[in-house]
Amino acid sequence: MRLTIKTKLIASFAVILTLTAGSGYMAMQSLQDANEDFHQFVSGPFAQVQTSRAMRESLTDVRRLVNRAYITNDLAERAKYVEAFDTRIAELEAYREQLLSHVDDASREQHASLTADMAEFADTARRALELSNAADSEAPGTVLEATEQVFTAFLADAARLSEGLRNLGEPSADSGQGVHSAAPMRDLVRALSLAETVSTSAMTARISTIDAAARPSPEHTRAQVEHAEQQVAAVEAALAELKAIPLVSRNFMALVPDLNTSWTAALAVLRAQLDSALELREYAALEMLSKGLLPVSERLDGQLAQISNDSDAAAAAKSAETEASYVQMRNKLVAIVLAAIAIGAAAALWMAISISRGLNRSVKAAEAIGRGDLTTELDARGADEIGDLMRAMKAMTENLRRIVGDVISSSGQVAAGSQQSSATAEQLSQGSTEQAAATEEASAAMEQMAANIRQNAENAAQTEKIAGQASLNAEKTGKAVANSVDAMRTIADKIQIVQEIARQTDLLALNAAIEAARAGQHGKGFAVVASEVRKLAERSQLASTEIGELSASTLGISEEAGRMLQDLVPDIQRTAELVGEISAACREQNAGAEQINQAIQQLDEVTQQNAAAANEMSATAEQLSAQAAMLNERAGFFVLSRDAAAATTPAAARSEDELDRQMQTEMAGRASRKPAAAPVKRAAAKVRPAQSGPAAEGGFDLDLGAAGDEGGFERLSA
Amino acid sequence: MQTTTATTLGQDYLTIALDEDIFALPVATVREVLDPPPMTRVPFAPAHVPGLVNVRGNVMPLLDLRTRFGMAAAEDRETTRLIVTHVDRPGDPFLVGLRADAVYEVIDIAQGALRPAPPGSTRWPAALMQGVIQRGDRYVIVLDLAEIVAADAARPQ
Repeated sequence: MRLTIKTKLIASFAVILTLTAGSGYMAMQSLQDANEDFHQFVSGPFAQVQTSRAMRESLTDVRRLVNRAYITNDLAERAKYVEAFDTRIAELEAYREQLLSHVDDASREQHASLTADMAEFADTARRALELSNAADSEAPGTVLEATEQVFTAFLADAARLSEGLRNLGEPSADSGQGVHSAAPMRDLVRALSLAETVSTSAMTARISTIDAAARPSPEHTRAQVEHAEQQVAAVEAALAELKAIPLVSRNFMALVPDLNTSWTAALAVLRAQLDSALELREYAALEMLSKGLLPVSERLDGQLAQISNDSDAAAAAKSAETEASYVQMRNKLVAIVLAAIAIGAAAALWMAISISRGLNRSVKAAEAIGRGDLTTELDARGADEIGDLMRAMKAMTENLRRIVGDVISSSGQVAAGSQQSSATAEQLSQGSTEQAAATEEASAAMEQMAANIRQNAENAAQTEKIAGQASLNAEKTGKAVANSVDAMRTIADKIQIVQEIARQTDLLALNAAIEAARAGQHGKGFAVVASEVRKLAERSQLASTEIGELSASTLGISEEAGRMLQDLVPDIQRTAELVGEISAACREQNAGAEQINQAIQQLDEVTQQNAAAANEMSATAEQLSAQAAMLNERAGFFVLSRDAAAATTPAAARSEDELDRQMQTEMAGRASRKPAAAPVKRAAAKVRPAQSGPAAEGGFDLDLGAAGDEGGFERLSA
Repeated sequence: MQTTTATTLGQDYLTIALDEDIFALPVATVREVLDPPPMTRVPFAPAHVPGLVNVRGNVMPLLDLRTRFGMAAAEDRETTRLIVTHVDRPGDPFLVGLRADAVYEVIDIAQGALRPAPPGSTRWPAALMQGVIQRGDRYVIVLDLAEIVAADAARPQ
C-alpha cells in the first residue's frame, strides 16, 4: 500500500482528533450520568429517609396525643386532642403515600405490610383514643365527691342515733327515767354496738369503693368491690337488727326511718360507683395503650426505621457506585489523553524524520546533477511523496544521461552527415546543369506543339461557324418542306373540284344524249356532240383522278421528307454544338500549352537556382560540421559514467566511423528510392543564407518542414 | 365505253345498273337524269316507294328499283342517280323518280334484237321485263316501266 505524506498526516490527525472527540464525548456522558444519579439520589433514598423520619415523628406525636387524652379529664382539651389526632393521622397517610410513591415496583410488595400496619395503627390508635376519652383518670376523687353528701347524711343520722342511745344509758337528772334494769341495759349496749357497726361498715364500704376505682386492676377492683358488698351486707344486717330492738324502735320512732332512708340513698350512690368501677374503663384504656397501640406503633416504627436504613444503605451503595464510575471514567480519560499525546508525538517525529531524510538525499542528488555529474545512482525508496520526488530525480538523471549520450552521438552523426551532404551538393549542382539543357529542349518542342494546337483551334472555330450555318439552313429547309406539304394539300382540294366538274359534265352529256335520243332522227347530230362531250368529261375525270392520286402520294412523300428533316435538324444542331465544344477545348488546350511553356521556363530558372543552392549547401555543410564538433565538446560537460569519463574521445571517434557508414548507406538508399527528396533539400538550402547570422553565434535550427516553395513544384507538375 | 350506232333502225334505251346487273329503260319515257335530291319520307308508304322528291318544282314519288326487285336496300353512293320518267298511263300521265345504282348510256337497239327472256333464266320477276337484249357477252334486261309502276298500283304492299 502506498503511504503518502498526505495520507500519513490525515491518518495521524484523524486518530488524534478521534481520541480527543472520544474523550470529550465520554466526559460529557459521565457528567450527564452523574447529574442523573444526583437527581435520582435526591428524589429516591434522600426523600425516603426524610419521609420516614417525619413519619416516625408523627407516630410518636399520635401516641403522645393518646396518652395525653388518657391523662386529662378536661373535655375541651380532649376535643382538641381528637382534632390534633385526626390531623396527625392524615399527615401519616400523606407521608405513607409519598413514601410509597418513591418506591419501585420490586419493593412495593415489601412495603405492602407497611400499608397494612399503617391501617392497623390508625385503627388501634383511634380505639385507644376513644377508650382514653371514656376513661376517668381521677376516678377515686370522683367516687369520693359522689359519695360525700349521702354518706355524710347517713353518718350524721347514725351519729344522732348513737347519741340518743348514749343519752339513754346515762342517768339524767331532768328526766329521772333511765334504764336501770339489766335487760334494757343489754339492749342498749347492743344497739350502741350495732350503731357503731353501721357507721363503721358504711365507712369501710365507701373506702373500699374508692379503692376499687383508685387502682385499675381487675383483681384488686373485684376484691374491693366484694369487700364493699360484705360491708354493705353488714350494714344491712345491723340495721335490721337495730330495728328489731324494741328499745330503739320505742325510743327512736322517727330516727330509724330516717336512717333507713339515708342508707337507701347512700347505697344507691355506692352501688352506682361500684358498677362504674366494675366496668374497668381505665383498665381497658391502659390495656389498649400498653398492649394494643404500643406493639403496633413499635412495629411500624421498626419498619420505618428499616426503610430509612434501607434508603441509607441504597444511598451509600449509589454513592459508592458513583465513586467507582468516576474513578473508572477518570482512568479512561487519562488513558485516552495519554494515548493521543503519544500517538501525536510519534507520528510527528516519524514524519519529520522521513521528510527531512528524503529531502536531504534529493538535495544532494540535485547538487550533483548541477555539477554535471550524472553518475550518481539514486536509491529511490519509500511510498510517499518524497519517494516520488526521489524516483522523479532518478528518472530525470537517467533521462539526462540518455539525452546527453544521444546528443553526443547525434553531434558525431551531424558532423559526418554534413560532410556527406557537401559531396551530395556538388553532385546536385552537376545534375542541375544537365537538367537545364534538357529543359530548354523541352521548351522548344513545346513551342512547336503550341503552334499546332493553335492551328487546330482556328480550324475548329471555322468548322463551328459552318456547322451553325448548316443548322440554320436545315431549319429553313424544314419550313420550306412544310410549306410545300400545305401546297400539295391545296392541290388535292382543287383537283376534287375539277373531278366534280367532270362528273357534272358527264351527267349533263348523258342528259343531252337522252334528249337527243328522244328527239329521234333530228337529234342524231346532237347525240354525237353529246357523246363527244361525254368522252371529254370522262377523260378529264380520269386525268383529274390520276392527278389527285399523284398529289396524294406526293403529299405523303413530302410529309415523310418533312418528318425526316425535323429529325435531322436536332442532329445537325447537336453536331454544331459538339463542334463548338471541340473548338473551346482547342482554345483551352492552346492556353494550357502556353502555361506549360511558361512552366518549363520557370523550371529552367529553378534548375539554375538549384545549381547555385547546391554550392551554398556545400559550404553550409562544412559549417555544420564545425558546429557539431562544438556541440560534442559542450556535451562533454556531463559525466556519464566514471569509467567512460577518461575514454570519451576514442569512443566518440569510433561512433563517428559507425555513423559515417550508416549515413552512406542511408543516403544511397534515399537517392535510389526517393528522387523526390531533392526539392526538400533545395528548400533547406534556400532557407540557409537567411539564417547564417544566428548560426555564427553558436546555434541554428534547420526548418526542414518549410513547404512554402514546394507548392509551386506540385502545381507545375500536375 | 360503247359507241352508239345511229344507222340501224330501232329504239333507243338507257342502260342502268343494279349491283352487277344491267337493265335498260326506253329513252322515250326518260325525262332527265339527276344526282339524287333530298327525299321527304312519307309515313306508311310502301318500302319501294319510301317518299317524295322535289325536282325543279315538280313533286313526284321516288321508286327504289332495288327494293322493287326484292334486293336489299342500300345507301346512296357516288354513282347513284335519280331517273325522272314519264308514265304515260291513259288519262292519268304522271312523273316518277326511279333510283338506280348507276346510269351508263343511251344505246340503240336494232329491231328484233329484243327477245323474250328464256323462262327460268333469270331471277327477276318476269312480269316486270319486256325482254332481254344480248350485248357483247352480257345480257341487258329491258324493263317494262308501265308494269313496274302498274304492279305498284295493282298490288300495293
